[in-house]
Amino acid sequence: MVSRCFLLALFLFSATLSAQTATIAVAANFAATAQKIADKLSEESEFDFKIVVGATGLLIAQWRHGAPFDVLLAADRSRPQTLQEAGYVCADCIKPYARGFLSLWIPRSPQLLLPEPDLAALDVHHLAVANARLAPYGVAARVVMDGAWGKDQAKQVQIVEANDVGAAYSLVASGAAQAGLVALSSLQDERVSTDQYWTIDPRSYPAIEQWCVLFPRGEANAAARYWFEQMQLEPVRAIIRDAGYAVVEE
Amino acid sequence: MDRLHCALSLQKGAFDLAVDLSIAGSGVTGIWGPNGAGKSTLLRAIAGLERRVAGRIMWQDRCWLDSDHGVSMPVEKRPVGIVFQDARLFSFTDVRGNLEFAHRRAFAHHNGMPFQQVLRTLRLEHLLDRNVASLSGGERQRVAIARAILRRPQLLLLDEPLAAIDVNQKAEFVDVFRQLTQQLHLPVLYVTHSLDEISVLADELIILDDGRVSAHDKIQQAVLRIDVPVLQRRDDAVSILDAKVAFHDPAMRLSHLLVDNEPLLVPIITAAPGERVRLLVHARDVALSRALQTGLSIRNQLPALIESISDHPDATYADIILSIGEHRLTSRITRAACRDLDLREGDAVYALVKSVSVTQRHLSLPVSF
Amino acid sequence: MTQEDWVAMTVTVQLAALTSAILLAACLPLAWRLSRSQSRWRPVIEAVLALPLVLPPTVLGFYLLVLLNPDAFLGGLWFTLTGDALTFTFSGLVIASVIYSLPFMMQPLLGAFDTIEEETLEAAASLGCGARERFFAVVLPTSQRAIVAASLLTFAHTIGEFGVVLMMGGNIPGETRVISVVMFEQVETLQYSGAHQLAAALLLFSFLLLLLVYGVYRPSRRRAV
Repeated sequence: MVSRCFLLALFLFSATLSAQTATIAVAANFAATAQKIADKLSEESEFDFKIVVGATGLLIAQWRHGAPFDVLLAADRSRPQTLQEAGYVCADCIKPYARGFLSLWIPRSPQLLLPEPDLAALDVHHLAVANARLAPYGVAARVVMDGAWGKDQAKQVQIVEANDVGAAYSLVASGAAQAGLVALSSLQDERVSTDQYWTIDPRSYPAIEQWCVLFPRGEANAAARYWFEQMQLEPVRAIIRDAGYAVVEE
Repeated sequence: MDRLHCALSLQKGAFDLAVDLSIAGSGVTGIWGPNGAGKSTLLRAIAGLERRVAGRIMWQDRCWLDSDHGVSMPVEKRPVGIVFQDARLFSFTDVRGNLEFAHRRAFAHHNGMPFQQVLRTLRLEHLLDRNVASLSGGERQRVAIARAILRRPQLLLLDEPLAAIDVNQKAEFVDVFRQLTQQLHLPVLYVTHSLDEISVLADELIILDDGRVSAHDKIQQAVLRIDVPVLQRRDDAVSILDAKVAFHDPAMRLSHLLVDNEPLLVPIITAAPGERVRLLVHARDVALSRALQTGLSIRNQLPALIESISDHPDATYADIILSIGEHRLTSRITRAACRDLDLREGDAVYALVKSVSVTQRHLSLPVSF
Repeated sequence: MTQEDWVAMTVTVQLAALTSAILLAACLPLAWRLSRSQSRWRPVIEAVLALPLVLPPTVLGFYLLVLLNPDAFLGGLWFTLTGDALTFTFSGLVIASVIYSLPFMMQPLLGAFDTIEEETLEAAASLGCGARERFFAVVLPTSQRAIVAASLLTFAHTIGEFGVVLMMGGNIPGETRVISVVMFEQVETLQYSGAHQLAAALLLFSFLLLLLVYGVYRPSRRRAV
């Protein structure tokens, strides 16, 4: 009798515990920042957060097949919008949370440093960018490059596409590519010396917006709802700004 | 006449071989001895399949091995054909493929038997499209011989070819082989541990014992070397006689042969009068008598002289060598009988031959009466 | 399938074919030598050659990037010889694939060669075959099935190569953009129907290829070499 009560109590306890935890799926390039947010929010509340990192499309595919995600921090805007238009999530369940910026990074040749980034004058073997099909950073990079070289102009530099902007960063960091159009947030995160990179004028490329999604499962989860709400409120926004993003005003 | 000269020595683990031989360049030379004597090793050394062989091997005017001068012709260049105990046919092709493999690589300037004739002699015509794995042991060996011959070697080496063949097929193999040697005129080295086998097939015999040559002689003489340890006190001791067919007696189904000028009776054989046949007589089938016996079923009583008596105190049997004209015969009788008959060297006796094995063109089975 | 997809498919097939050809030419003598070797170094060499099996493809891709960089020794050597960088090129991908798929060619070959007995080779030698001829006239025909199997395995394995290419390919159309990356992109961008189509096309292609090989290849017991 006593043992049975004990087991029941344990079960109820863990059930309430799970209502206190939300699983947050995060696009790879935002992973570090998301962890900081998770730490902050669990400090400020009685909730716990579990971070799952992956490529946005794969995370969505997994979710479609039953992965227990409550919230998704996507790497772009278009996919959350697609989900909403297709009716998978409710109308108010998607919103922007961060805006990224593109930087031109040339780590090893300070002589190449000019007061302003001049892609047309770039003289390296390889320039790493994110895959335009997969990441808004890639789309932005394409626009910037087309602006610098013209759409069909032969480029003296070989463009190398990485899977996502974080991988583009790795290509440059490892020396495989001598230069790259990477996320400002990565450079700030890794505390790269500011004399190695320029921030490209944000008006010269379509805004890199990252949107988040509250899944139906998350709608029933207090912790998830809390997270979703907090993404546009102050302590979180400060963290996002510190990480090299801008926050998006609705 | 060419001879194969080999003076070689080699060490294999605890075993060492040292021989100095001059082997006939024609006919079948048998290499016989107990297991572990080094027969296969010797054959392999002559073939070039053994490493670290010291010495010289000369054939015709070519030097196959001269370890003092660092000369060692690899096996693929030596004009030898090898038939292994386990046939070693190639499994990736059929019988025809195996034969053509050798035929394509034949020594161009050597004489050889034409392809069709090889097939006929070795009775392989109906086997050509067969899968190698489906052949019986005897069939496999015949293909192996054909393959070795088609390369047109100048020397044929056989390493215990009958060891893996069952009894029923041995007779056919021996038959085929004898026909082959008669047609081929190729010197053959034949390794076996069976005295019976080699007695039927060989012209000369090399007896190998523990890595050394104990005897090397014409086979008729070699088998009677009871001074050689491995030939002593053998149950299968045998004599080899050459006989001529005198005439046949179809009514009684008998053939009359002459050994020197002594008559010998055997069940009827198909050889023609005047033809020579080889006879094998086992020592245990030869009894001795001081006088000609009458009232005895044994028809063959040959007058002979006792040449030597081998009589060990700790044996049941004594081995006696008899001479019949130019031929020699061995007889195995109990020491007790030897003592009772008071047999001595030089005595004239009669050899009573109970059973004779006749090797001829188409038959090689013991016939006795 | 779009024009782009066909280009990626072509690159993929060319990569797989070239990799398989190179590995076949290199592994046949290597596996044979290794098979006949009595050296006590053999287990070490076998272990080294099997490493790509257990190495995560992304790790392999990363290290290759580092090694083949024009600033590094190997990459620099290539650059001096050819004037081209090795990274982010088809050639670089071939090198990566050769390393990545090496065990798939090596292991079946080594296994098959190990089953060839010394006795068979002695018989071949007694029929006039020197070392080279023994290999071509006896060893290869005996190992036909294993050679075909190894080549197919290697080809298929390279077609499916993803992690290495992702790390070090650069996704350059007509050069390093392979079909597995195209499929990944489609899943990533939620274009599931496109992904299904590509997967089906790939499956059909592979199946037809295998059918062709198994159909044409009948172990012939009739031909002697």
